[in-house]
Amino acid sequence: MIQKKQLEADLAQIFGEDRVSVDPYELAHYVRDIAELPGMTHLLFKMKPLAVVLPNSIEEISSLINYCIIHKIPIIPRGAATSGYGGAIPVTEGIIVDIRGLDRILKLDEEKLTVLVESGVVWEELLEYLEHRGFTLRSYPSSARSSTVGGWVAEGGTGIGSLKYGDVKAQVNSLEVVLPNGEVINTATGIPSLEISDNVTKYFTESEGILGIITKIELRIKLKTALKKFVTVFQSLESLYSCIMELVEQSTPYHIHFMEKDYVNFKIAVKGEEKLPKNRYISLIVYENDPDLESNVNKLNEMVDRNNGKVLNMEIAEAEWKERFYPMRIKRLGPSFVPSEVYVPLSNLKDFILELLKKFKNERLGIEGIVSSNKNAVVMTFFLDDERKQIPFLMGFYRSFEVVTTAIDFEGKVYGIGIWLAKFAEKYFGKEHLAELKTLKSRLDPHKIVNPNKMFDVSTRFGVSLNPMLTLSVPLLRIGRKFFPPSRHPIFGIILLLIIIIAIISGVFWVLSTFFNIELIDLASVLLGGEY
Amino acid sequence: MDLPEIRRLNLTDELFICSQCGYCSSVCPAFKELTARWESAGPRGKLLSLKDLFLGKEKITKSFAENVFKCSLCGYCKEVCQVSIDLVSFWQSVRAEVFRNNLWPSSLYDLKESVQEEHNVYNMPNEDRNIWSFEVEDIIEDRLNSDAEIGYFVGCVSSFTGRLSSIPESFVKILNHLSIDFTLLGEEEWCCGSPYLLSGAYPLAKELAEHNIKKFEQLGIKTLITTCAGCYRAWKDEYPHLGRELPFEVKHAVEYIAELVDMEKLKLKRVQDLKTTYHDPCELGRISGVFEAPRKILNQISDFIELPKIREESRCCGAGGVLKITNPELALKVGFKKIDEIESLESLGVDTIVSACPACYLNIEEVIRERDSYLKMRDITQIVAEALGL
Repeated sequence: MIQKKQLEADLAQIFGEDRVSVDPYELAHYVRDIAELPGMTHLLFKMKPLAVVLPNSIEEISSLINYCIIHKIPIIPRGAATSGYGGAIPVTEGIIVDIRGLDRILKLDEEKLTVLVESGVVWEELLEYLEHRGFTLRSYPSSARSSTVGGWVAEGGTGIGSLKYGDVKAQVNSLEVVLPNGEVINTATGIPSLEISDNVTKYFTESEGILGIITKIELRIKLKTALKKFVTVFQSLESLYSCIMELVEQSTPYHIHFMEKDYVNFKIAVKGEEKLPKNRYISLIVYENDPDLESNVNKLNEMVDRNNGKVLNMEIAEAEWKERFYPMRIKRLGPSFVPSEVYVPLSNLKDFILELLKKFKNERLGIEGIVSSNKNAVVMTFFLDDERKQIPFLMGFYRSFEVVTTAIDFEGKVYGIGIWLAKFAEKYFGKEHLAELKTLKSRLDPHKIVNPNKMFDVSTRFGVSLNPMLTLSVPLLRIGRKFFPPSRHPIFGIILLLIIIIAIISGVFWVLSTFFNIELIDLASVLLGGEY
Repeated sequence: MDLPEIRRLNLTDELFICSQCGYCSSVCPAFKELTARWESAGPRGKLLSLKDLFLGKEKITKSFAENVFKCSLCGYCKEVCQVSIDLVSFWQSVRAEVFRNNLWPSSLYDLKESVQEEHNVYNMPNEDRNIWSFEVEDIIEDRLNSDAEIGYFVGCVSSFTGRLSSIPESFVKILNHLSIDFTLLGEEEWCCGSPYLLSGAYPLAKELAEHNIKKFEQLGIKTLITTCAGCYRAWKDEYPHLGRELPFEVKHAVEYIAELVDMEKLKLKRVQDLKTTYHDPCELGRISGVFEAPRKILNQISDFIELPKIREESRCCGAGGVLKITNPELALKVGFKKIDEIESLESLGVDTIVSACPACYLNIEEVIRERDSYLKMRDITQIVAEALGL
């Protein structure tokens, strides 16, 4: 392994001294994303990076990759770290590449309706740039105020406008990517070194940075259209759901956001205002001002009436539209929360929410989401909690996984993979696409340079796969949380946690010895690094 | 480690409430202009550092202290905060922790020496406080420390910066034109303490505040008016928290002039061929909520053109939060972005940027000069005086 001082000097040759850091104080800021992870995560992975670099050109990124190939040092690309799946945080010692210095809007093509940007451009800045010139984005994430174009493209997902214009994949024409072998490609024209000439863009979007560092993106855009917004209020989840289903079937909304009543109540409590009615199920419906607007609005009014709902005034609708960037407001009531985000088929949306409410009836749970297509919704759940009560907070993480498994029971799937949800990758990508991704990864990155140990089979620092550990942990954490709610004295939790850790370790050894014929004595030999 | 200043304001919970969404860092005008945008230097990173400090994982280091002052306290971070953290109070209390640990930037210790010795930020003899009044000497000479219902607080920047003397001159002329009786403290006026308040040195600010309040109280004023956004905020928002409620109300000159217009005591004429836009000073606008008054005035006397980002979303010019003192180069870079924004709208025909803050005036004027821009910088009192033919 290269010495720290040598590494710093070598990186300074590429980036200059100002844009390289090996300072532990600085590095500590790059070992997390938006999720508040329990301290135990640091025991599982080597999360401390070797260095952080701030490139501002593709040449610098190419040089870095070539350097890392020679020295076999992993690279972890990072945007604004606004996702919570761990895609942007290190789980093996490596160099973090913060791409936010690549922040230029390069070319607006008014004829072809495309815009070419560097990957560190912030979505809201791009939106403002386009709208000032009479154009707009087709869809963008709810974290647009800080998330980068490259970040969302790499992470994948749906956002504002996706209902009408599709998910992030539908926005991307092509990408410029620096591959793990140092090659720079345009995904529209394939991968020359692998003799692939087909368009490979679909493999690089939603790949969470494991196939290379995205440096440029050509996005499809559209002419700016005025938007008409409505806030509708219902007395029951059933009415809200019926109305949403009818709207999606019979009209063409640009965006639909919905909130379960407890989320609404939390939101009212945080904002300290009563513009939204308490104990109601609320949705924000947005239409584009196109030739269908009048008919769309008429249908909306009919459907709201039919479902005993009410349309609130325009002022509230405008305020809720501004709130589209603020799904996490309710965190103030935590002060922490355990979030989860899943895709659920629209046909099962109501039953899924009812099931969550039943399962977690004693929890402070906020549920909101968007209709992401005419078939699916994205549901976000927030379990309000307090990270200062460390042990119950850790145990409470089971709820995040249980939301995912519940979604899968209702034919849904995870929203992202990252570190924690690798076991659901096949369900997320489909068997064939996942197999193709794995093949591409092994061909492009045989030395596991770029964002290794993510998405497929994630290993802990002990070489043990994370998946069985998580599978074993979730029920144990659930039991732990039940017997050790936040109100209990910490000593109970410490004892319980020790029991859980012993149970997990025993379970792993049992699995290894039963199914893989690996005895404890062999494992000890490997761990001790020599003959036993 | 213990963070008593943050605890005093009940802000420790906020460290856990922060969602780390990064909206604050994304809009921070100072962070965006850093040559290297290290996570630790942005608001999100600083909140994370503070959490680690609070949890005992870190100690206040020199680099943390430096980062805390790479900020103009413009309050845009507070405006966009997903979980509504009062970040302006927060950054001030963090600066108080830095002050407590003797880790202020060296330029602030120089400033402290000046204010402690001379009671102004320029290290000039305070007896010279009236040097701005050369042209209006005859108007103010009988009014210095006289009893009146209106008190005018000039502030250090306008008092001691020669090319800004026309701001207080203009305001005095306006008051005189309307035969409004007023009083000033002259050499008895001390620095309002704003640089201390913005740097977290509350006990030092308190001493200055007590002096200024006492002096005006003795003159029996009912309303205190200032032409400086920084002094305005100190008097209006900060003084009441330093010990006692003020026995008089506080207004910025733009609020007072707009009221006079509303009451039809002041009739403004249009200035020919003047195409203005208004720069909302952060301390007057986003932080104190004064948005309407300057617009009302400018609409009456000029062809007034709004920028795309105004009021709560207005772009900071870089002068505030003692950034101009601690990091003048960065303050200038932030200012360049303000001018870029206005120059990009050349087709709208704006030729004059108007503001209501001497610190903004100085920084924007410097940027205009450096950039060799076609734009001109004016204070709103100067334009009102011109509209009245004074």
